[in-house]
Amino acid sequence: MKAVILWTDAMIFLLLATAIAGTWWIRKRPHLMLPWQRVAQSSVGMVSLLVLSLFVLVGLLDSLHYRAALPEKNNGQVVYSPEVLSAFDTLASGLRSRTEKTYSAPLAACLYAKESIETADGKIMRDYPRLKYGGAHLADPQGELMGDVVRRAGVGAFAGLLIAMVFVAVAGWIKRSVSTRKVGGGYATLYPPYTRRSLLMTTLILSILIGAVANLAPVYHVLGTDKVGIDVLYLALKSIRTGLVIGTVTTLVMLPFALLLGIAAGYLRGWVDDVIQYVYTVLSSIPSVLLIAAAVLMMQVYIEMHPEWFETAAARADLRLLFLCLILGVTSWTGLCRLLRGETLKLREMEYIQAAQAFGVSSFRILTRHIVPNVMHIVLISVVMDFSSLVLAEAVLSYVGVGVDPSTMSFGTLINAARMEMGREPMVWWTLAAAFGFMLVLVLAANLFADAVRDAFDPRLNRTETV
Amino acid sequence: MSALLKVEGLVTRLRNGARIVDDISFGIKAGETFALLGESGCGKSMTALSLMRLLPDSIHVESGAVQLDDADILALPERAMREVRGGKMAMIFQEPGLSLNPVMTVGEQIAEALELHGGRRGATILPSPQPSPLKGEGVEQRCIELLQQVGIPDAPRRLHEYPFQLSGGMKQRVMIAMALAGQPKLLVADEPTTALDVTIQAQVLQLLRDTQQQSGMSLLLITHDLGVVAQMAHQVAVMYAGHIVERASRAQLFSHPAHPYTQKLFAALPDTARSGQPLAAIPGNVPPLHDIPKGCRFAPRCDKAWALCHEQAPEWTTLEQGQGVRCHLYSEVRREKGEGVERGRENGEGGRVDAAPRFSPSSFSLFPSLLQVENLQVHFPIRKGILQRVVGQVKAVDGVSLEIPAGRTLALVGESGCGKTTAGKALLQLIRPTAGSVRFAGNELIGLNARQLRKQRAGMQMVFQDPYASLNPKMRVAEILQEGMDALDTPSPSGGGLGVGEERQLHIDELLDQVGLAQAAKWRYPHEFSGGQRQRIAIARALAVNPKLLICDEPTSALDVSVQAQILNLLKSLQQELNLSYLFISHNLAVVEYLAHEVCVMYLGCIVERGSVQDVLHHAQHPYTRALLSAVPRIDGRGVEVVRLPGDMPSPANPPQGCHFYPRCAHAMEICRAAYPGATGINATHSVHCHLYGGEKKA
Repeated sequence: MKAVILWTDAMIFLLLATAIAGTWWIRKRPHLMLPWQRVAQSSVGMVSLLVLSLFVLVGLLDSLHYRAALPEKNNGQVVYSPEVLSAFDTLASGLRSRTEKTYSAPLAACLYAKESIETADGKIMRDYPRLKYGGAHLADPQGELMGDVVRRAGVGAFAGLLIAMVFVAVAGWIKRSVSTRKVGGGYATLYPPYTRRSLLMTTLILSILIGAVANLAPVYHVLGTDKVGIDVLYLALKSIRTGLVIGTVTTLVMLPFALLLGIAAGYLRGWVDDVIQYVYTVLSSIPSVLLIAAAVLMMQVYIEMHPEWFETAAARADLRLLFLCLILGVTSWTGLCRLLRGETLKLREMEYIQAAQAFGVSSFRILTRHIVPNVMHIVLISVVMDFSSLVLAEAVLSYVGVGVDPSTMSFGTLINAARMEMGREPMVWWTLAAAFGFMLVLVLAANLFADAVRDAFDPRLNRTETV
Repeated sequence: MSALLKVEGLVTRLRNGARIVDDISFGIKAGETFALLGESGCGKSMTALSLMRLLPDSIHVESGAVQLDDADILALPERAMREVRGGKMAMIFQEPGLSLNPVMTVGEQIAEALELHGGRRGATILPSPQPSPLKGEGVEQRCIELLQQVGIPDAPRRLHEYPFQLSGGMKQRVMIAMALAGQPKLLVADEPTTALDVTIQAQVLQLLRDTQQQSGMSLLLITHDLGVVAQMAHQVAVMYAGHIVERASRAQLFSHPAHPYTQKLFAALPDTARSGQPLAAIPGNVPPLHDIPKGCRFAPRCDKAWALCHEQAPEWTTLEQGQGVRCHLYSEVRREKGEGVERGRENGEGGRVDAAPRFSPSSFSLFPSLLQVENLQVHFPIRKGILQRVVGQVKAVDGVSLEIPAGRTLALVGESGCGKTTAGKALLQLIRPTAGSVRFAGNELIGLNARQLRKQRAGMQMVFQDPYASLNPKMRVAEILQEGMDALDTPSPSGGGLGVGEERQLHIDELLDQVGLAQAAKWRYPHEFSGGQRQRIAIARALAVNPKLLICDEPTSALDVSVQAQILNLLKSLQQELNLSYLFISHNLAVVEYLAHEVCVMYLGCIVERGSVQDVLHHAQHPYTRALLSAVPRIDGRGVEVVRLPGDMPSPANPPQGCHFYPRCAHAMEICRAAYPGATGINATHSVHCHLYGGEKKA
């Protein structure tokens, strides 16, 4: 086995490291902790964070890539499979490998369309053929399917509930022993009872759901299969990483532009301001879909011309994804930049900035010590807000055909595939429904979390508590 | 005469339980002016909003009764309340710039009020209780009448103008006109003149008095300014932390203030008579609403408090002639207590300041000059068009010359927009001066590059007006204080053997000690401090680099009277300890009188009169200085010859030809239009720019 670090993997790990370092840094500073404590007190914020972290977990597992060693050797050297797999693929290897012939409905035991089947006695009849894997253990699908599904779902749900309760009990016990060791249980004040209750409820509901699905998945296609028989649940789960990469790496690309140019324009004024303003006004008046389409198509041609650069197909698709993030980043920094410029214009007239100027503090130091900390709340809020719109932008661009590589699984490609399926008779609805459902939950959770964060950082909303 | 408005036991509280207005009772008679006096955060405005039932969502009236004209205001349905608001009870607010809708013309806004309530004028003739709404021609006619009534010249034209075309004083007049449109019986004025300059304040107060005389309405005046109360009120209630602590007629209150808080408020006012001694500052701050002391609310700051005060809240006690007070000193449980404790308690400033011998007003030239400014000019170009061509200059500072000797205070006085703050910033080179010379300790500052300038920075520092905007909220106090030392590499006075870091920390401790803050304060963030404490931090920050000159830009105008006294005492004692010079920029003449040695009066970018405090404030020569002095409301109602200034200050982009002041001057002559007057010496230390004195004394 050989670990493969794709470009986007590196970006994700960089982001993860930044997030962990940031958390560690904030933990030591009580005034920075305060708003996050308010987030922790909001039940909506914590529940959406829980849901979001499940998505992130799937995305992270899906970012640990490797190439498996093949059994045969080439002159004593280990030969690796050309296929790049991820830790998530290994966990869900069952889902990945159990491909059917073509469409099958969720939890079905037969294909979705009738086919001519040759029976044992040589006769040809038209019927729904049995699936290779879905419900293959059933002798009489028509009679047993319902009961088996309910039974398996029930057992899975119960197991999930049991595991969750054990987990909650252990967590509670650890917390109690930690908080008794510390002075005065800090956790009890951190989470008010209603937040704890809603967190508990969400945990239980999620584990029941996951338990049921986990118990059904080995023998059924919970969300059906697509045109070439791939399990849609697997596709949807793989799409999560793409969505997260688009949402976060794009942010990573656009943030330096927005932050540096925004505060530089606001603080330095003069010709710097003029130049930056012209750049972003021009950039934001170009229709971004056209710009992205042009850039992506050029990139595509360039990649096609240099196949020797890429060891694997995955690396190629990944570079295209990264490039999409770059171009999305380049086109989407203008909004935040404008916001930051405005805020900096306001801040630079503040008297503490003038006091610093009176000490002869250099411009760079004023920017980093006085301005940046005071605009961070805007950056934080708009970054979280942008995340959901970027996930949606990927879907739209992939639908148009200028998004990710067709071999990359993403919500956009799922929706694009569903375009044809919706026109069939009978209609194949589950691909779209799965993409829709997953995207809705992800974006809704991100939005609700951003909302909770914004409320926690808004001094006007939090004034009454301190008065 | 029965009361028009009767308030009984009004309690208003936040949803989380804090009582903002706590058991307030008072009555206002028809035609009377009732003043609610108090510092910020004591619940004055919330009382007014409770009466109007316009409280924000998080605040509600819990109990009490409000009777206006026999109508129970608190029980009325919202629909009927709309008739009352504007119709019977109108309100004007503090900030005239924010209380007018910027996208509607003045006429439209007054007409809106007229169409709702304006028919009441007809109702006095017709017995019909239904107000007949005014429409069309009648509305416009009435609008013009109203604008003329509030003294707006050229009313028919102003009717079609937007609020941004009016000055602050004009906007407040329009607000008053709108309030008068419904012919209310009670006008609630919430700090109506706080945002205005003294000369404009005098105009607006005069207008309120005139209107009251004409229409016989009652006025509930909310203010923090004892001077305004002295001019306007018949009855006064003093509020503190949600309670009314004293209620009396104006005469009683000003001759015999009963409550220790009221007495302290009077004592905290700066004044010439006391300019040698420290002010009687009230230690501490108004208690925050969520943390109100158990007993008397003033007890922690009161030097007459004894054990009972901290345990039991005093009851309302009525003294002779209707004067009422909420204090144990006057209640039945009163014990004999040593009276006449005048000095502040040990934790206040009182103990720290030694009464300094009064400097005799001698000539400035006896002192070696620290800062010399000659013909300082700051012009801001007005750019227009696509090529950003310069089409004009805003002459914010136009030829200012001044001198400050070491250890002395020069005050720069003027109304807002006269360029005094710009001048202060130009001295520090925060704004690049257009021309002129600034010599600090013998070194020319103008024309230096950033590096050369940094060497000079340590000598001159600034204390800003708004302590809430002048400290970075994301930095701790120690970091704030250290920033200047790091930037300028200041040697610590306590140095010797220690590392730079430790030395700095020691210096920070010393600085906090010097400005009267606990050393524990240095690891806290600015938002944990009150306004007065923040201003102390700002002063400590300026002192960190051992400056010789502090430019104080209205350092007390954002603070309450009691806290202002603390800061003034601090500035004064620092001057004596460290031999600091101050350039004190202010519009508050009383503060200037208390603190300054020499005064320069600025008008439209130029100094019109300069001299020692005695000369300028007691023997003012320039008509503008005289008008300024007479516009300041005096608490003793001293008979100053009233000089009312018509109109507003002209724009510095387009100053009048000749003497800048002539369009508003009562003594304007032909020559004033033609030429700007040169300096005329009245005596060795006193000079004035005015043609009145130029002719005969020029020789």
